[in-house]
Amino acid sequence: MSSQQRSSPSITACPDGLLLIRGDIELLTGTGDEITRKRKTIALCRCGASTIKPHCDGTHKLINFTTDNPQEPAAKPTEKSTTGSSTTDLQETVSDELGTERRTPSS
Amino acid sequence: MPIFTSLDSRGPISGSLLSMLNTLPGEDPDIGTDLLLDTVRSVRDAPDILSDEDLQLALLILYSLHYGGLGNWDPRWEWQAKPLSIRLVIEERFESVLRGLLPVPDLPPAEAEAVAAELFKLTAEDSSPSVSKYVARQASVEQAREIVVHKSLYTLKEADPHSWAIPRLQGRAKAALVEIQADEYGGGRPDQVQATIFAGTMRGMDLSDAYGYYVNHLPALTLASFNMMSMFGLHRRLRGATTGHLAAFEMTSSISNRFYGNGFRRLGYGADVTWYFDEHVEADAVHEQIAGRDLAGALAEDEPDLLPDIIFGAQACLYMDSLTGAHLLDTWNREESSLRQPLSESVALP
Repeated sequence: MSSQQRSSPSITACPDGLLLIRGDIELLTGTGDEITRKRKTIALCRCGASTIKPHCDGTHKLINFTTDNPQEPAAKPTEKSTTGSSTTDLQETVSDELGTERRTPSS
Repeated sequence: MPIFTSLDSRGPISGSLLSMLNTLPGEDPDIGTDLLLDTVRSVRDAPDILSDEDLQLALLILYSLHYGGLGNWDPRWEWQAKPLSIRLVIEERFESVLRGLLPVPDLPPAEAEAVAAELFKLTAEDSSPSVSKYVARQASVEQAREIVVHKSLYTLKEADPHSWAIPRLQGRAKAALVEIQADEYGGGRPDQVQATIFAGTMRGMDLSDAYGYYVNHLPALTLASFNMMSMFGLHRRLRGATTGHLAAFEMTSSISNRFYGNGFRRLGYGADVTWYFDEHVEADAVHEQIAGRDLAGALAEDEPDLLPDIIFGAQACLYMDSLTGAHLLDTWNREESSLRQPLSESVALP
């Protein structure tokens, strides 16, 4: 297949969820090492709560992650937001619910 | 040469069907005539076709003529009028009972994003008993082996029932289904085929990975879940239901497989057993997005008349899951086997 025939990479920002990656794209760690890509189309975590980062494991659904941007730029810190302490607390709840060791990302 | 398990009949319909399939097509032109009439009566009188052992086994056998793998019958039976007629009689009631149980709710607009959102909402609202959480926290080794045996009816043929829909879809929906199924089938790597990975899970738990080896153990509800997928897949008119079913199936998979993986690790099983579940955590987080938006959502845009069936397929998936989940947890809470007969301590492998 020539490079012209290859479809250009695309990133789909799925509402309230992950980033879906299609096409030829290098996936690297912060130090430039290649992250093994096990499948053609992959999903990257956007909520921060995945247990298999950088991949998505569906946890965004358990923590009610939303990709809606806040209406007011200066939202009160106590309000539920997409990041910050509420997510951390929820992640602990989720982890607790799982009850056992987490999956190691090395597999 | 595959070894076929001898199937035990569960009543007059499955018994006569097995007898018929053990003859050659055309050998006796009258064979199956009485069986067809008996099936009409049996279907009419069945108080609950979803849990009818005789009829669900008959349906499983009839679908196996298309898949292969359940009996050493003459392959020409696949397209003989008698088995197809008997199948249609059972399917007609099966489908109408499901539709009666699952009235279609208010429909979203026939737009991909709205349909995906509706499917995510339906699956998030599902409050059916969680077998996967039970497995994560407290299932015994024997119960873990039972759940794998229940799963094996579909999972040793993972993705096959939905693949019937590939030539029955066009354009975006077809591309999306193939994108998912290509991953299910290993992306060109035979060792990565999901059904093959699951076979490794079974062997790692001292279970036979021969297809159909445990059919005699499986209750009607487990057969009905698989039969429903086959019914949706094998009828072109039900392609909407197939896409909705697959979307709901994927949307309820990644998190429950995380629970399963953790449960099997808790019981001391190694990566040979847990690979399948761990793999699905990552894979199905991808698949659920494609299935919701690009498959079911695009189909709703392209063929808006199919929208009610897309939702019906998702509801049917969740409903059958809730029935089988309740059966598993009820029997386990009574400290009974969830199978028709318990697994022996050490299973003789074929």
